This record gives sequence, C-alpha cells and structure tokens, in this order.
Amino acid sequence: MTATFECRGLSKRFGATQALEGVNISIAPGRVVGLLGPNGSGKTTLIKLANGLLSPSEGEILICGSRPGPETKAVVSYLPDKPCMPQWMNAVQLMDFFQDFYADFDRQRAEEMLARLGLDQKQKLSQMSKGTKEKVQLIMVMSRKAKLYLLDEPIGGVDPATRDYILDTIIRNYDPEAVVLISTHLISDVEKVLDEVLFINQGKVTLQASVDDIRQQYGMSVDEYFREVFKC
Amino acid sequence: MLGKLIKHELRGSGRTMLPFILVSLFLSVMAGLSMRAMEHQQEYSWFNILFGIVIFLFVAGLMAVCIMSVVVVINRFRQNLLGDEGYLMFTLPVSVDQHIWAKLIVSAIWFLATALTCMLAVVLVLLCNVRTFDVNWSEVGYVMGELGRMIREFGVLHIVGYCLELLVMFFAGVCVSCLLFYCAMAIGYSFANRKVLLSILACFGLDIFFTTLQSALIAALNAMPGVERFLDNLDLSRVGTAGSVHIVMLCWILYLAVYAAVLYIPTRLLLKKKLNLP
Amino acid sequence: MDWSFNNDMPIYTQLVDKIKLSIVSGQLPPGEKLSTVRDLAAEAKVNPNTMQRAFQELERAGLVFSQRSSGRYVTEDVEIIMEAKKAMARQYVQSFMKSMEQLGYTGEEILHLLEEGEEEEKQ
Repeated sequence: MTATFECRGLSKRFGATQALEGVNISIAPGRVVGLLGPNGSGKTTLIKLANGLLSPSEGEILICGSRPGPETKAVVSYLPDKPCMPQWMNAVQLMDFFQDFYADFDRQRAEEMLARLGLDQKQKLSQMSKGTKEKVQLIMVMSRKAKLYLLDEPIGGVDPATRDYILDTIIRNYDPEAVVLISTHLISDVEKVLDEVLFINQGKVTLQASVDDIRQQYGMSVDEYFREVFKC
Repeated sequence: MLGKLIKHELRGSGRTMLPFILVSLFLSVMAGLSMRAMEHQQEYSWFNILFGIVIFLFVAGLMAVCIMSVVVVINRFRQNLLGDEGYLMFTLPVSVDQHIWAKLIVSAIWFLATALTCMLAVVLVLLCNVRTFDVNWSEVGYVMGELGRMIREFGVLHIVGYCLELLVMFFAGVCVSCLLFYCAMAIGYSFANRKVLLSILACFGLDIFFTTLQSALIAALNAMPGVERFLDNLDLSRVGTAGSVHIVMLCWILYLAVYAAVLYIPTRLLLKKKLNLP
Repeated sequence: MDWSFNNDMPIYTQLVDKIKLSIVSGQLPPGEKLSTVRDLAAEAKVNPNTMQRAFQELERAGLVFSQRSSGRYVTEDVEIIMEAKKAMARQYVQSFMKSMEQLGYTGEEILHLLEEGEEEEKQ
C-alpha cells in the first residue's frame, strides 16, 4: 500500500537558513497525525512543501505516490495558518468556488455544518468575527472528501469554545481512508484526537510514535513528554 | 479548469470594474443631456456651473475607468496570487500556466471593455444631441454606400483578416504590458522584505533592459551586411499593397509574441519555484 | 459518562476502564445497543481509532459483541459481567490496601477502620 504522505531525505534551505534537514516520514491512510514542534521548527515549511507552495532543496515529498502538482492538489485539502479566502465573498460564493474547483467537495455536508453554526449564508467574510471566519474556512476544508488534510495551526489564537468546535469537526469528519495532519504547538488540546505524533525541532523530525505508546512507555502525556524533550 | 478560473477572475475583478463602467456611462448620458440643455441657455447662470461640473465628472469618469483597468490588472495579480489569497489559489488543482493565462485573458477583456466604454460614452453624448446636429440621412446613406464600395474593392477577406490581426495584436500587446507588470511583481515578491518597492524597481529595470535590448538588436541588424541587401531586393509587388499590410501586421504580432514569451518564462518560473507567500 | 483522562496512562486503556465501569455498574445494561464508534469518539473528544481499539479490547474480554450489520451490543452473559465486576473490585481493593499499608496500617486495623467508616455512613 502506498503511503498517503511520504518524505524522503527532504531538505529545504532559505538562503543560509536550513529550514528542514533530511526529513523522512511515512504516514499510512486512516491516521490522524500531530506535527508538533516549537515555533520556527519547520512545521509550516513542511506543510507548504506538501502543498507545492515551496520546492524542496533536496529529496522529495510524495502525496499518494506523486510529487506535488495539480493532481495531488485535487486530493489535498489545506487549511493555512491565516485567513486566505477572498474577504468579499459570502458562504454561498465560497461554496460555489469550492464546488467549481474540487470534484470531491460535498456541498451538502458544508451546508449542514454551516446551518449548525447558525450562520447567515449571505454575510460577507469581511463582516464576520475572527472566530467565525476560521470556522467557515475549516468547514470548507473539511467538507471535501480528500485523501490528505493539512491543517496548519487550526487551533492557534482561537477561544476555547472555537477550539472545541474545530476538534469536534475534525473527529466527526474522520475518514478511515484519509490522513489528517495537524500542526500545532498546543499539544494538550489536540493530544486525544491524534493517533500519532511527529516531533520536529530545528528542521529535523526527531520522533514518530503513537500517542498511546508514548503514554505507555513514559507514563506521561505527550504534552508532558514534549515539554521534557524540548526543555529550554 | 481555465474556463472556471476565468469565470471567477471575472467575478473578482468585475466587482471593481463594472461600477466604474456603469457610472461613467451614466455620466455620459448626463453630459449629453446637459449639453443639449445648454443650447437654449443664453445668459450666464448657475446652470453653467452645473454644466461645467457634469462635463468635468464625465471626463473624470472616463479617465477613472482607464486608470482602474490598469489598477485592477496589477491589484488582482498582487492580491489574488501573491497575497494571502495565494494560499487558496495556488493550492487549487490547476497549473501556474492556467493561472497566468486566466489573468491575461481577463485583463484583455477589461481593456477591451474600457475601450468600448470610451467609444460608447462618445456615442451616447452624440445620440443625446442628435436632433441639434440636424442629420442629413441621404448623406449618411451616401457615406455608408461609399464605405461598402471601398470594402468590396479592397476585398472582404482582407478586411476580415485585418480585423482578426488587429484583435490578435491587441491581445498580444495586452499580454506584453501585463506580463511586464507580472514579471516585475513576481521578482519583487520573491524577496522577503520591501516587496512593493522591489517590484517597482524591477518594473523600471525590466523596461530599461528591454528598451536597451531592442535598440541593441536593431543596431546589430543594421550592422549586418546581408540585411540591407535583403531589404533592397525585397519585392513586395507580388503580394500587393493589401498583402504588404498583412506582412507588416504579422511581423508586428510575431514581435509582440516573442516579447510576451520572453516575459512569460521567468514569470512562470518564479511563481512555480520561488513563490514566497506572506 | 465522564470523559476526563489521566496523563500517565494510554487513552485507550482509560476508555476501556470507563466503558467497563458503565457496564458492570448497570449504567449500560446487558444487551444494550452501544453508540457508534464515531459518535462515542466525538462525545469523548478522542480519536476514532483509539475508541475502536478500546472496543476491540472489550470485545476480546467478551464484554461487548458486534453484529456485522446492526452494530455493537453489551453482552447478555451476566456471568462475564459479574466476573469483570469482581476483577475490578479486586483491583480497587488492592490499590486501597497498598495505600493503607503505606500509611502504616495492618490488615486488622484496616478492617476496623472500614467498619467504623460504614457506621458513620449509616448515621
């Protein structure tokens, strides 16, 4: 079986800065994986590489066996760490947009989630609160039946209620054929939602293990273990 | 996918362009009507001031449409592809080529719309005043007849050919101007800081570079010994006047196409390999 | 059900314990149909795979069984449930005894204390 997400000797340099170095990862379908690391450890760089927004300096990154390109973008659903939807659009226009470009967009699912949110679909994004905007963006991303979901800091900078909503949405849309990769530094909040974790520090992946294995082996939560590993 | 990109690009840019076009067409009707009213106005009065204002707005409106068409070309590329929206756009299952083509085609549509708006505005002003010009219909008929005769004499096929060539030339010209901006922005935005400043510098830099390159090429051609002889011996009598015009047009199109391609390649490469979203 | 978790144990074993407790306490009576893995996972805010693993563990212990098309049920075999209940009780007693011994009490004294505690409760 081909891995859904794979990196082989992946490196990325920005001028003199080494953002990623010799990263090897392989993730099988059906896993929810946390990409955990301190700020500036290379999480966003890795996700941008997977989306083809950056090109590797060395090595390669494979999504369902192919390098990033229009074909992989058709099966990757990406939530960037900042609002990227055109602010003049409303929810209906956003759904039209997603439906036009993504064959795997499930409009009914999106409508249901928007209805549960109690959102006026004619309201422009620019008129929504920050939290609502993030929820709408997440709904669009999770309404696709993608093979790989790349969620970059989905719970950073939102209130606890929104955080719960986001995690709940991720669980409810769980697909045994797909991989969900969540990058974050807020580990205690996402820990229960994850199968596996990847520790990344200074551009290197230092650990790939299952959450329960870490708890079993070290008798502490992943959050505590992370703090111990990355102690300053 | 290109069709869908164009559709959404038209939506995104039409939001800005359409109001300007509609307002300026409305203003042209107002200007036409007030001109007609002025005809019966003998003395200086407050109406003259109003008239002045309407005419000023009419001219300003047309200028605004022209300026906005350029602003929209630059801004759509900057915001939609190089700004935050770039995260959405560049993760769509489309190629970089399709992105650039969609932007070029929609820009051409807006430039064409701008030209048509200007023409339509003048026509509207004239139509509002049509009675005061006292049209002599038999004269109009005569002119039309003459025009038709000339077209037939010249050859309908030639005329259709010229129109097509003009259209292609227009599109190629739009591509060159847009790609100059796109290339400059692709360069400027590939840096980490001072993106706007570097884009403007790149724009001037590219312009100077290409102007110099063109003069150098022309000078080099002139210096080549064979060229002059070739031009002297060139016998255009076989293709006739109409044919010569075609040749000139096609050469000009070729020149524009090469120019556009030279700008296209680095733009595409930069967007593909050196994309640096905020 | 209370879905709070400790930090020092795997999440799936804690899920097993919680569901087991609900079964032996009768909160989930024998033969009761269980919610789907996805719904329970959402309720507990845990990964569906982890919930699945917990159920597999419970199936292995014979406390729940799944029917191919209709879903998962609590076992109707009361004996197995009683067995599990006893095992859990033994576990609690063991850890209680351990703590008491750490406090320095012996078997006799502990029994005495327990009786005292029961009297107080009655009053």
